[in-house]
Amino acid sequence: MTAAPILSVREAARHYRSGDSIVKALDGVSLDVNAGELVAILGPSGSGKSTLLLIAGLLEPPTEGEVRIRGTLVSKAGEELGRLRDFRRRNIGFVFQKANLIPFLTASENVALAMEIDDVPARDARRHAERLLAGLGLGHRAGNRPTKLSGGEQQRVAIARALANDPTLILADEPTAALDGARGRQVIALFRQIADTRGAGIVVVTHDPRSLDLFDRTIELTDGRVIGERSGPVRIPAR
Amino acid sequence: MNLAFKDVKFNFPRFLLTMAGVGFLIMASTGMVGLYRGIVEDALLVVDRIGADLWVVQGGRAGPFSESSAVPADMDRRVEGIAGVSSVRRFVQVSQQFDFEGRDLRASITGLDFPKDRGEWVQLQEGRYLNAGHFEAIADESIGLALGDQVRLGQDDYRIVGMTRGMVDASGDGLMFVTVNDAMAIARRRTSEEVLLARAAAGKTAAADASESSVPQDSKIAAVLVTLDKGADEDRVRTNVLSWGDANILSRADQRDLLLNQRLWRLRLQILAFTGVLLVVMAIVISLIIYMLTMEKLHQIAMLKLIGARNGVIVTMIAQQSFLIGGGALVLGLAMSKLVFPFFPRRVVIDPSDFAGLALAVGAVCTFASLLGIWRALKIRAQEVLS
Repeated sequence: MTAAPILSVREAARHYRSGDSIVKALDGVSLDVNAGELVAILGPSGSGKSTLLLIAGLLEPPTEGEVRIRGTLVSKAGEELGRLRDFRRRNIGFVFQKANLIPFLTASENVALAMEIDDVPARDARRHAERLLAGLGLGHRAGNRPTKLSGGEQQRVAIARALANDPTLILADEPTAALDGARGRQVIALFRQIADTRGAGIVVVTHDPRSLDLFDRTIELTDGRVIGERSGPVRIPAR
Repeated sequence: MNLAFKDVKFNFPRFLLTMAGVGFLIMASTGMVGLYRGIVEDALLVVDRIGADLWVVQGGRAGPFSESSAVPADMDRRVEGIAGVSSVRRFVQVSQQFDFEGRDLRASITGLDFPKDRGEWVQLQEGRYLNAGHFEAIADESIGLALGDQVRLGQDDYRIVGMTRGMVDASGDGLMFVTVNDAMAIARRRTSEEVLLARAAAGKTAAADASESSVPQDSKIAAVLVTLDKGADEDRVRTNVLSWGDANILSRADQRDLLLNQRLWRLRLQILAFTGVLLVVMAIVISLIIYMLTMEKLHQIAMLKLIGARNGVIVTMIAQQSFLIGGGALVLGLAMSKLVFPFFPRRVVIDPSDFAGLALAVGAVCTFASLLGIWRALKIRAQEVLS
């Protein structure tokens, strides 16, 4: 018997009313992400990538369809998702284009906060945060506030925060958009490593083609529909 | 991890400035209430401290504070004869402007019925009470005189033998205590021309007026202060005095009521109205500051929600910061009030119960502002972190 996918989105649609017309931000998208898998969602602006991520991250309910995490139905059409805050905290980690770190907390406090919110004792949380940061090459920056960190370092702190509660699913929305090519690749490489070593399923929304070789699978969206899916690393043509 | 304290520590200068701003508002409110209390205390100072049970004043008048009052200087003898009266003292109070070493000074000259009253009810800061029947004075330091100064009042020089602090009349003039006879002499001060004009107006010549006073107020006092025997029937004394027809009699409570609800009521109402306005302004400003602080954090609050923070974490952060600002501002406001108000020309009384009331009001405002911020924060959706 095969294990259930970490994330399973079935026929998810998201429709918005705009005046007299209905905008279909997402139109019947299905997606499975397995443990240890790194999946890229590609597509132009307005193709529904971020909407898919919001639905998969239990931040918005789908207008149609359902979302299962590790086989458990957690979100379906029209459902109120406020009750899923604890579930989200324990099962899903988020990373965004901007690191969104709390400016008055140090790097380690930003990471520890996610654990303290989950009732981990402060000292243990801080120790684990420092371990995570050290694992991401930021051990020497643990005591620095975000303003003292570079963009790449901030993004790595955000990844450490996403990992803090050891989630099975990590969702990242354009995490490399604010970084240069080398730093962007470092971040995707980090996701690759996390998927391989922790067995987490990771979905990365991106329109940066430079690191696609690191992904297990790429899914392309246009106008809210899946128009292409490719398994295996994408070979980047030599320049 | 205490997010509120971490934020305060990170933005400490800004929080300090915010606290100082709110602190100044609290100081202003404390000052307004304190000014009101000060005016009331000043007005009642003599009535409360002089220790008279009853005041015999001019008939048909409610003197000597709310209206002028003039009774014959020997009325004390008449009052003394009434059954139940333990002791009597004559009372005179007159506002006086005078020159001292090139400075124009003001004082409220208050007569003590020496030797029965040497001023023992007055709290001295330095010096002594009156020892002689003439030409000695106890002055409040607000007048601008010092111990040992010689000051010319009327036609005579008076030596300051004692100093008081914070003893002023209802209009804020410092009290200067002399004997009743001296006070009457100072009140009689007239230029020669004034005396002649007054005589002419009365249709008399100087020769024809050998025994009678030329000015109606001459040889008159403002009131007779009555101390009753223990267990004496106050109503009987009152009826007795009223039966004379030329005198009115007021209790201490009557005097307090006249001062507060007749003479000072407009001023009190004015100050209370200003205090009310100031409290409303303070409430609006504090609410706005705390609300704006919350608004600035909406993105962070959305992030907290995204990483799964319970509402309690967000509510605690907003409420703690709100009360930190309110509490800090209260301490700062009180400290500044204590530091600054003693230099104000009129007494500002910082009454603990008033300040406690103000603290409660600030607490209520902080609660309201927190609720406003919390209401806004709880409306934030986690996905707004993407915006």
